[in-house]
Amino acid sequence: MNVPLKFPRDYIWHADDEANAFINEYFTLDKNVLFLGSVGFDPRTLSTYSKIRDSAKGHIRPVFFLEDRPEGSMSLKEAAEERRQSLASEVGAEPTVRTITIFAEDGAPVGGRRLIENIEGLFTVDIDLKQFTDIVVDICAMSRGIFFPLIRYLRGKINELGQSTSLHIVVIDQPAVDYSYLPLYHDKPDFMHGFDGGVQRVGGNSHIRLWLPQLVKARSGVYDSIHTWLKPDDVCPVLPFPGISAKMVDELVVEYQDQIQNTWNTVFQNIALAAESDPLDFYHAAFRVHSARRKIFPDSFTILSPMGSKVSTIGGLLAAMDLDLPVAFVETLGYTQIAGADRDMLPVGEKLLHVWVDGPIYPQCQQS
Amino acid sequence: MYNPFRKRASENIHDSEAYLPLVSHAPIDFILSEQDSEDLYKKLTFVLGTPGSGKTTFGRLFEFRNLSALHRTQDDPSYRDLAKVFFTINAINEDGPCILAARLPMDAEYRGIWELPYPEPIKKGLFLRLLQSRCVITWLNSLKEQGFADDQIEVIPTPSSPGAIDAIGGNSVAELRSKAIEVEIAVYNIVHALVPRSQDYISDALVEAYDPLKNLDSFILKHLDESSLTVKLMLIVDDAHELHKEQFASLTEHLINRDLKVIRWVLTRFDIAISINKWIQEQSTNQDNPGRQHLRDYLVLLTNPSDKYAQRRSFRSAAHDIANRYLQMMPIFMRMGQTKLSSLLEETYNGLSRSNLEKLSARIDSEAQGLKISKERIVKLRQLVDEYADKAGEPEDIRLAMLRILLHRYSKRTPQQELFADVVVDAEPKREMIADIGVVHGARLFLFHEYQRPYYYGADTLADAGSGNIEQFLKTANELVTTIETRLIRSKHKHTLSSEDQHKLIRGIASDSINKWDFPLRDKVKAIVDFIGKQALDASLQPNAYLDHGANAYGIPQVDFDQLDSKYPELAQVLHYATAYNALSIHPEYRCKNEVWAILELGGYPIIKYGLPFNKGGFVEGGINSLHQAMGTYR
Repeated sequence: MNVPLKFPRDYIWHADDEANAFINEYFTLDKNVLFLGSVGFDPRTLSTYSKIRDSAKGHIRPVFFLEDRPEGSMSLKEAAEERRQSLASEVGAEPTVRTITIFAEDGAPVGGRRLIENIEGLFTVDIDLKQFTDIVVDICAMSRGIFFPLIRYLRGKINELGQSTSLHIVVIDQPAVDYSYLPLYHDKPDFMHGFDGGVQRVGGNSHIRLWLPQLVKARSGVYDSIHTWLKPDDVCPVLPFPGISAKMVDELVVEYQDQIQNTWNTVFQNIALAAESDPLDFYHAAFRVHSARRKIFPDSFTILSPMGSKVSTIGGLLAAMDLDLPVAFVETLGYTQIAGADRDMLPVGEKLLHVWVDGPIYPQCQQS
Repeated sequence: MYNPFRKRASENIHDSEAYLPLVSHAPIDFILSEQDSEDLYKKLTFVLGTPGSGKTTFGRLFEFRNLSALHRTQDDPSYRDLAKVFFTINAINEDGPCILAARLPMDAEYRGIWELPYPEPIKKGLFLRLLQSRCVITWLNSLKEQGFADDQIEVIPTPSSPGAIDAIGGNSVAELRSKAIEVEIAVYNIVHALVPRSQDYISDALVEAYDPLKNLDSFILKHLDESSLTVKLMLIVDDAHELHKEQFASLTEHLINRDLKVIRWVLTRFDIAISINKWIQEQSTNQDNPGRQHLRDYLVLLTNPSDKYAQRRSFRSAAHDIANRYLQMMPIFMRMGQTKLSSLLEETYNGLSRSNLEKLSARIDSEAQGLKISKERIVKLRQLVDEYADKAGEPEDIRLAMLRILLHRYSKRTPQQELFADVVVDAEPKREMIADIGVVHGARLFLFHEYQRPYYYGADTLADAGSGNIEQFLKTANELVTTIETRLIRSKHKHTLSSEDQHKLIRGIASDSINKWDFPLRDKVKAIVDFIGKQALDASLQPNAYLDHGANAYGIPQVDFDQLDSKYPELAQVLHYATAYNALSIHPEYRCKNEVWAILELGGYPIIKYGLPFNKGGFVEGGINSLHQAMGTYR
């Protein structure tokens, strides 16, 4: 846990028109792009790919992951299958599609490990990473258990090869779409693959733990199971403010009142706020809490559970990577949709978001 | 306000002095009854039980801090019974704890080792090294926590081959700890690497040589007053069912060695489709380990009694004991001298209102007329009912409902009357008519469904709602206790809960909990529960109450159930979660009507939701295919 505090980094990010302008101006003919996305039921599956392909004029190599989960509604499974079948016509060539089995035969969650095994094979046999100037990861249809280890792996790989390749995350920011899917959770919590931060070591370690769960609605069972398993000394819930709904914070406090007061014993001064549509707000919140904590408990672990909108989750990912923080989560067996939601309909207000995770744009950090 | 009934309260209590008074000695007594402590400590011991049956609580009690606390406070009334159990099995003696245990839960981290891209011997080696290094670290940390400095601990190794002591670090505590930490870090870095390391990175020494379970005998603890105490070392592998099947086999293989001086216990759930006998048989006939025998090589302790009736008695006793202990920790209850749950829950009901009694009486007259039963016979049956009810002290509404059941039974046991005959023949029934407790139970169920008579009330019913799961019992009891607490605070004259209040609260908790089920395959579990619940209710409410108290289970011929894994793997998975979350319990090899059945008994909450009895034994016969189809309707 003795990671030198060389962060927080001033990550460059764009949203909306700025992001569109960036993509149009940046991904030009001189770029060679590796595009990594997931093909799934999410209607945003190919939105960002089309934008970057049009801008890069064909200098783009798409690779898609298909997350194979044992449960979920038939309607969403059918939607995912339809999108997979139409991929070739949308992409314009036979795309590379890799299936990632999220659960082993005995029901153990293995998605993160299987992803790394898969992508290692891909880079060893099929794809030479050195030929790309940019790697773009589209997390629209990717689950957290997949894109967290993927981004960390890619960042490590780029640094290991000493390349000046840039790593980007893109997503269509629509919290309403994110929240329209109801995850069916597995019953055992775990740390995300590659995001253990040394917290599970028994010998020679401090066992003081602070847990930062990002609160979203209707996840009571998940928070309970993670809390029982982690046994944190302190809990600092993170609420989405400002968020898509002005009432959200109040609703969440009411929903989790029993946990906050009686189980987690959180005092209200210890509730953190992070903007739902700003990827760096959660990043800075986690950084501040962790830094303040370390001043008093130098070996304390700060454990994240990013469960909010996709955009705010990016902040959790960046904080976990930069500070080597553990990330506790519960893997998803499948998804259903809330009653009345249209599986194909994108709500109005589509907002493209781009975060520049690594590359020559950050010379100092490349050297460190 | 402090309320230990809140869900998982005890899991969040780490301090022994606060934790131990919450633990009942009753289930521990049961688990350890008639066990020879020599066997318990020499042979590999499996502790098997259903989820929530108290395996982890049982394991936790053996932790050094808890045994130390029990020894320190053995004369305190809150601890006395528990301490006595541990004295009996020689876990503590006059000088202090005799056992130093490391309880290691097998969470996803250990299972993850089996996903590494290495040959099985390497994976097995990494798993066992990680487990053993943590075992040593936990032993030493436990002693440190209780104030023992390194120079107060003498390590006693086993007389083993030269070099074995070097492999575990050495004879001193510092060397032992240092080596354990070194091994843990080495394995940890391999297991947690984002990208698996090359196999060349893993040294043979790491995979093979480190084996403290084999090389350690005991520790001698030296007190400051120069007295000393020898403690046996113990490894408790908790939640072993989380491991990969092959991993579990490797672990068993390693721990079954009778030459090991360290006490080895494995706490695990048994798989749903495997009865205890079958599980033991599997172990005995394992082709890799021929000749291995239960009792000779290993012991099996059950946290659930195999006898269903004994199980219910044992759980009721434990639940009452725990509830009373919890009440004693709530200031308002202590202050008011109300520390016995059963005395706060009324067990009586005054009977239906006069108007409802009149309606019921009229209904019975009408049904008797429809069944063409003579007035003389009705009088005779009523006498039969009264004879029994007078002795049992049953009120009028129960008597009337009993009469209704006997009328329908009589009708079934006599030839059918002619439809338009003028004279009703008073035929003798083929079988003797009897009014007994079974008829009373049938009557109560009928009145509950037809006239909203309270059915779920009393301390035993509250315990039964827990389905043998202490956590579920506490959750249900919490609602009732909170209501009573509010009344006490408001100084209401009457603070006890009437049977109507209890019934209403318990029904509400059950429905609410099922609605909030949040576990894998819950929709399919709900579909199966719904299928069984409706069938059982239909059978239970037949006018002649042919099942007496009614049914709460579904029976499948055992031969069909044996094909569950091979023919219906998805259903097997659904039943796995159904049992894990107390929606169902499975009782294989149940003999009835000259057939062998696998009984799928609904859990406490589904029983309450569908308005079924808690009484054991009543089931509706069915087929595995129907069950499979019922599950499919939710897809």
